[in-house]
Amino acid sequence: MKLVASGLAGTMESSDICIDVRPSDDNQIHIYLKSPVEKQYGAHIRSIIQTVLERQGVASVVVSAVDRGALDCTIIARTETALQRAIEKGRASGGDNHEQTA
Amino acid sequence: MDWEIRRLEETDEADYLTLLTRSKLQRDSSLTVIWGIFDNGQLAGAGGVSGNTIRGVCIHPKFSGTNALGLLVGRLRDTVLQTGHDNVFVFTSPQSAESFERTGFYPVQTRCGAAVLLESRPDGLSSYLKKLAGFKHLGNSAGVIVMNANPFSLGHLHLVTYAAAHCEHLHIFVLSEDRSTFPAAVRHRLVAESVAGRFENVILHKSGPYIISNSTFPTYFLKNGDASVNVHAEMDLRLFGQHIAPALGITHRFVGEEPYCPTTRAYNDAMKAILPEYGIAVVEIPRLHSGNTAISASEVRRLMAEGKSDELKTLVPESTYRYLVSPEGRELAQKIALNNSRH
Repeated sequence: MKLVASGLAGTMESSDICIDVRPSDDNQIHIYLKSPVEKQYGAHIRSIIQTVLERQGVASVVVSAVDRGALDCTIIARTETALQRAIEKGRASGGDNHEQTA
Repeated sequence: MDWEIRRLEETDEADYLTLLTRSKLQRDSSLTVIWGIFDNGQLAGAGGVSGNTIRGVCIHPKFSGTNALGLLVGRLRDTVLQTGHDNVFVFTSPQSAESFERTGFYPVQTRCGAAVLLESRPDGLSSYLKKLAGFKHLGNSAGVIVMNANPFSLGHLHLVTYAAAHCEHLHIFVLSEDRSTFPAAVRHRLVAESVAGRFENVILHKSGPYIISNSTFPTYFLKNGDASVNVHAEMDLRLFGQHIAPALGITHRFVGEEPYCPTTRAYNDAMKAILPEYGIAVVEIPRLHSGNTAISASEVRRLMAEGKSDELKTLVPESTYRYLVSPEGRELAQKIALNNSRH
């Protein structure tokens, strides 16, 4: 699945995570994370996001995540919702969301 | 903490001013929306939005270490995103930079003494610079002109002609911000039309948000420039010198003398003081005159408003003149006659 628009989910409330996804211009996955527990859980949070992306078949994306102490289930939910919104926005503006094949 | 986030009302203004003074900030008159975060009815912090930029944010020190800034910034960010922007900028003091970074902002320019600029996109500036670098030409000299071209006049053409003859490759950035009489798309097109076929070494760009924009230099677009023009000018120029110029290998920046506008003159003075630090020579050339008056876009707009088409012919090139006498151009002339803005 290829993103053509951006999507946002989550808030800045304590225990939440705010996820923004948007198309990447180099066909790679980039995850940017701000977290108060970066040292202890940074890698773990990134791997959760990565897993959701892989499950959704997204290989080209820039994810910007601002963590306020979220649990795994919240991270998964917000990431899935952000992707869903990006896809809907892409459809609404006439985008295809899929790779062009010759 | 029982947080309430709501828009500030008249009755909150005094408290906001107190907070600002405590943080050594001025009340920013360009803010169109101001949000406040309250703890049990007491104003804990507030900040505002102007276009795509968050400014004027201050939190009472007694609430540092709480989520006050995070929650407030979240609301401010939503406000900007809801108006259709896809990148949110923050203009704040150096002391607050780290706090903002923790709430999900990434530095754009932080080496300017009095202020810092941040953005919500982690790759905003870097992807802009990557695109620009594609236009970098090998050679000994590359020049740049930044212009609003509101509209493109013979004065602008004079500057371009001079600059193109004095560097190997000339990059012209036309301001993208749509806060001038002539829409950005029209301004850009008129420059393109006048430049096409005339020069071999000129490359045209849209300025984007990183050059004289609402985020880097908001004072430029305000009717009455204020004291913060120097802070904004420095922000814009250091961003240019540190990031944009190297991407294109810029060695020279060309600018016309500014006899009329104090804001532009202050900016040009700052340019001459700051850009040499980045190895960029600033070349200021005298304005082209028509008779005794220096040609300026504001003069063109004045004549448009007065309907003096014939006099306009002596101030603008062919393609601009064609636009001015077109139905769209005449409609604009009427609008100018009704308003009376600096732009």
